[in-house]
Amino acid sequence: MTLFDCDSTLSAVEGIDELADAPEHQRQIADLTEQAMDGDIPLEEVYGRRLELVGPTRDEVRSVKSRYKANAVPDAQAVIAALHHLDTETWIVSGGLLEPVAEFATWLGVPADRVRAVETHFDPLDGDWWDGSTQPRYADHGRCELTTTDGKAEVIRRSVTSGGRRLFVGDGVSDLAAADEVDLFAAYAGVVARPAVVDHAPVVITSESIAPVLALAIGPGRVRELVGGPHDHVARTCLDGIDDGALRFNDPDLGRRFAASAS
Amino acid sequence: MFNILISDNLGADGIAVLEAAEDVTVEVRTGLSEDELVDIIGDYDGLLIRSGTQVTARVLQAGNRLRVVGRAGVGTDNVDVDEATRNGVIVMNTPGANTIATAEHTFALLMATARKLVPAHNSLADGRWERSAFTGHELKGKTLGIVGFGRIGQVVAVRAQAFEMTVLAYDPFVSERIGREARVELVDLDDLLAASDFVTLHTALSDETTNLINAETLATMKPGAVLINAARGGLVDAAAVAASLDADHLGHAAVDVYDVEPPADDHPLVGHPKVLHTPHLGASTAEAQRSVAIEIAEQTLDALRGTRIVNSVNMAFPPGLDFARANRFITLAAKMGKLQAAMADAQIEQVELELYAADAEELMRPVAAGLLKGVLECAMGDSVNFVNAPLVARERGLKISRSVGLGQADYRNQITCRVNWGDGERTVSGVVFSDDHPRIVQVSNYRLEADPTGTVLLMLNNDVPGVIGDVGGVLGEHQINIGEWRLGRNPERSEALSFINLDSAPEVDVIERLRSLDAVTKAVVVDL
Repeated sequence: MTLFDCDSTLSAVEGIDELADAPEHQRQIADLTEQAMDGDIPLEEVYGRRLELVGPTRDEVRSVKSRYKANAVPDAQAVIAALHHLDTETWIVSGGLLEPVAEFATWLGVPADRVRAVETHFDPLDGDWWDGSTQPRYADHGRCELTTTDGKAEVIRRSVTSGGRRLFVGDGVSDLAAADEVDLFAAYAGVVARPAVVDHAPVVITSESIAPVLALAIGPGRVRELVGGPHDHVARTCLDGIDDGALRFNDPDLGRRFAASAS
Repeated sequence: MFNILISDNLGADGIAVLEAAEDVTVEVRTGLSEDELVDIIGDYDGLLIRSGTQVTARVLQAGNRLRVVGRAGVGTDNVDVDEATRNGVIVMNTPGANTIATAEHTFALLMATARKLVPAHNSLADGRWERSAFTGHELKGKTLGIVGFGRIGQVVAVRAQAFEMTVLAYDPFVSERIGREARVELVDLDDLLAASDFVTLHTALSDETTNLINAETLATMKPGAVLINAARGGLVDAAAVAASLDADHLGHAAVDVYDVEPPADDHPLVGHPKVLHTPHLGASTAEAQRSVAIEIAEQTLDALRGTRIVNSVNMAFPPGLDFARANRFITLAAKMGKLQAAMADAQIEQVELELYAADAEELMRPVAAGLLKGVLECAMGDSVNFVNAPLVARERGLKISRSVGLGQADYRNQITCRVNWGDGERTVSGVVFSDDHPRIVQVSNYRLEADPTGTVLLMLNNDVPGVIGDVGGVLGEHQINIGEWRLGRNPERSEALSFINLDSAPEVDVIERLRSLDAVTKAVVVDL
């Protein structure tokens, strides 16, 4: 099974940052997100604050889906299709907003029931609500571990119940914090390389393409078997990337074992 | 008996629906002036129109009995909707009845353009035989971009797929699941315009979509592409389209709708050699005219009878709401509002609402309207209804808001509301069951299970022996039978709340006698 973070991992954007349209909000919110992802302040301190600053409408929250899609990282759809082809389950465990993340997941091919993210509640009684022309605005978010820095570990332990070896791919400190709940944590640095994460993850994907995930999920041998089939392109991108040093092993033992299985 | 006036030409099948109803008298009077309509509208409960009749503020104010204005068709520009809302009149239309007709007309325009049918027809009619001048294009393998993937857009997609076209759609608010099921790729507008050989518009007109197709967006379209607009004229900057056609960028345009109809003589697209145009015929099929007439007749009847309200443009009912289920919530909410108003020590200034239900967000607005109607009804009587209660509340400074954590969520379908006045507040909870018999389960901090129906005596009394006997004695003396007597005690067991269902309403002096009993601290009667 392969689990993915969403923001700055499957898509190059941070969903909540995309909601801010006023420039002063953009800066403020991006700063808060950045500090939380770097581990400088706990996520739970900034989670609600960012949304309250913007006060998005329901449609504005929905429209984040388009931003995710337009900024999907290279080969994201192809990696997920190849994993499914090999009967490897895919999950998304995200601190982003559930509705756009689930929509993006559907587009990627990840089943909606294997998406964990944060529910948003809207206030339908905001503004001139009775004629239907006013959109409900953000009221609060569901109380949920995913809004905390340590929450992903808990969510993976509790709700990701199906068996199999687990690989988790992410970019932030909240992803790294879940490393103990999975068999392997891979830091994806294709969008942003956070020292607090890439220095501590056992393995780092340094290429912009997320295709090298395939080799970590199923092993380089099985990736080679995909060459020439319907998933040829992503398999080649993965193998070429590895040849070009797209995987950096901080854990030398893991690196040795990977090299052995690759040869 | 409901009196219904039909003031525009409505399909005979719609009139037949009304004539077949035993509780309706129907009258058809077309071509009325505003003054004539003002003179007679006071006799009617329902008014059915198309686009001809102007339903002005004067008409609505004169319509003392008027409860529904039904528009056979979509646009309600000829109705003063705000004034209707203020007067508690439901305005409804039939947005779904034109779907097939509009989609098929879109396809007629698309095919006619691809095969140059109209110029070819005219050429032959003029006695020329010019085969090479009218070589067209096949649809197979071409890309159709659908802007707005609602009902009509989806029906257009099915037809395009039958012609083996690749279909892209732009609609930021449609779920990926719908796109997947329709085998249509949902893309951004830029990508759609850049990739499509044919672009067809099926989106509503709003601030965001006005002039959606303008000089800038036209420039991003494929050279030689075809633009089709059978939705709303205002979606397109007509002058920019003409300029793009003249510059040989856009290949052809096909239009059925204009920002002003009929279009002015100098409209840049009318008569343009690269434009195929029709005079707003999208909905003009015998089948669509028949179905709008039947639908508006049925909707109006249902609304007057209170059995179903759909397609209202001025009520807080989201589209697709399960009316039967919502109605149970709204009915209970109105009773709770009334109960709150009866028990409040002063005029209620604020209402807070919390809903515990799987579809709470969808139900929130209808339930809020119900609560406000109940709260306002004590002071305003029949002049307030579910349609105008939110507006009347706003105008009177009565606030309502969504709240969290007001009470305990003991039931699956529970409404909790807290009202505030001056220095006081009270919380009431009610529960909806599937059997149409709602229950009041909490009043202040008293837990009980009471039936909010008919005449109810609400009483607060010291929790001491003998109260039930004394109250029963007073009511018995006046031949008032007690149906049910529900008691709730506060946790300290110092005070009790009685919720008493009576078979008849006590006179004022009887209530005064109850209030004068030593143990009784409050007694009010409310008709629920």
